Amino acid sequence: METRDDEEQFFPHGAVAFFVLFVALCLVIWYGIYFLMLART
Amino acid sequence: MAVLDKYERRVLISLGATVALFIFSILYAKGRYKSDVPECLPFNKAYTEPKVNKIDSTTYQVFAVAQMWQFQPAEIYVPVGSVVDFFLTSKDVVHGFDIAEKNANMMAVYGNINKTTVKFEKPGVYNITCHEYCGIGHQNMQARVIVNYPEQ
Repeated sequence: METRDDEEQFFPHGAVAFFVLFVALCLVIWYGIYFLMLART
Repeated sequence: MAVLDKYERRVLISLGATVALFIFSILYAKGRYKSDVPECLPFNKAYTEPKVNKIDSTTYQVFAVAQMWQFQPAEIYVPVGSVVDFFLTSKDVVHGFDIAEKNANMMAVYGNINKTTVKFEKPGVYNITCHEYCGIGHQNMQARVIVNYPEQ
């Protein structure tokens, strides 16, 4: 069973990693289309 | 004075940096993007005769005519660095007109003239395809722009 100390030291590593990867994936997709568009001008 | 939690501050800085990068990219593309926006011209029967007009050594006009199931002219030869004005119309149903590797994408509509300008800076063969289903021979409806080095 968790104690109060455990709760205070909790850090959401999984959620942060998920969020960072999610933003990175969005950037890869967005810039993939972006540079394709620039190459066609 | 309110003090931000360190994690909240990091999230705000990351968010600000991402949004700044996004806005910078859009502004950069706006300056870099030289593609011509297609325009609709008043109908003139002269455009229904397919031909390639050479205005000067690097400026061409193409009167492209789409009909079931071909584009005319089917092969267009221009030198590297050419600026080509495409005037497009259809003799029957609605056709599509997409030049591969270029941001040229128009519809060929009977009784309408659509115009766009494309600059061909690299030699090669640029396929033009119909991307609007127009009947049983739609998949064979193609033309080519052949970009060569000018004769020495």
